[in-house]
Amino acid sequence: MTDLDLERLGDLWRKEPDPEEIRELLRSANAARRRAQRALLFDYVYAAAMVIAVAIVVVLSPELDTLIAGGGAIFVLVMSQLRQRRFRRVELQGFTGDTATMLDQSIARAQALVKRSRISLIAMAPATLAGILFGLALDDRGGGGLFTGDAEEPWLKMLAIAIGVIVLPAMVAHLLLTIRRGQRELARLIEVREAYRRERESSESG
Amino acid sequence: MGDAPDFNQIVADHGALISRIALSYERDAATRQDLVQQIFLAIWQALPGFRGEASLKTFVARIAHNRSISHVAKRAREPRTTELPEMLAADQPNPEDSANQSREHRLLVEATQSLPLPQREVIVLILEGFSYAEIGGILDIPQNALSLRLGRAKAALKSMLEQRK
Repeated sequence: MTDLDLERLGDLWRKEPDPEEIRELLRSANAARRRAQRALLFDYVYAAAMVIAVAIVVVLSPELDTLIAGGGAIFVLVMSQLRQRRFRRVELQGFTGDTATMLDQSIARAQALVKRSRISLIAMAPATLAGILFGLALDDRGGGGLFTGDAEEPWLKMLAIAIGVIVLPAMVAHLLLTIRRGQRELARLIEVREAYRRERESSESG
Repeated sequence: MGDAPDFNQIVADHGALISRIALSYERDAATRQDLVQQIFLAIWQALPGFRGEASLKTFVARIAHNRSISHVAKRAREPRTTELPEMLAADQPNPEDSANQSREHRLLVEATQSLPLPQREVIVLILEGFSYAEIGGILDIPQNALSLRLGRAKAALKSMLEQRK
């Protein structure tokens, strides 16, 4: 039985790319880079717009609850941005490191995502209740009538109904889907990680 | 350290390498195009951190492999088995030779795509012409473990190729 001629197979594998293929690769690579640059720019512009919007609301209505709500919104925005940057940095470190470490990091991220989604799902009920109570408090301060249909701004009642009937169920469905996808991805990552671990162990014992 | 390497030069020099590595992990042409773009993106983002500890080629190959393995692990469904396009006809006077070579290339790619991931990594790097030392550096495994893994990978590839003939 003849041995595998890797040199010949290598020549077959590394077919010389034609110039058009290289040009297409360059176009594709630069398209990917421009998209990433635009996404980064959008992140900065969005963050700046949010900060400006909150600042305007606070200036126009300099009350304690507005300040607290505005501060909370900026805090959530900053934490979200920091988390995204940390996520991208860690993911990039994984791609430039060894495969086993990259898989371990991916598994940790998938586990964290499933856990966060579960917590969000569980927290939705009390958060919704808190939102309703807050709405009732605001309504009471504004003279009442929102939930009886006597409010001067009936569109607020429509908004409240839309949130209750459309937005909240959609958020629940999205979280359930995220958890399910996350669990599947986690299972596949663990399977791949196990394949590498078995390969390493058999190489070390061989 | 000097400026980060030129991204366009990297694509021109190693784009074909990246494309072939992606091909060994993804059969569907459209999805593979996405994967190649994701690899380019990861390389562009990682370039400022490149310190020259290894060659650019090994740096690029490591990112391409890791990004592809991550893609395989996260894939939602089993890959669609699309027909691979035949190689562009080489500039050969004999059309029969060209057709045979094209068929052999297709069989090689399909066999490589069927290997277990750890073995696929090693075989692809060997086919790309990396030395044992470079492969050990890319995969971060000692030489004796690499020899054992390569031996198993060669046996598996040979078996796959014979099944497909």
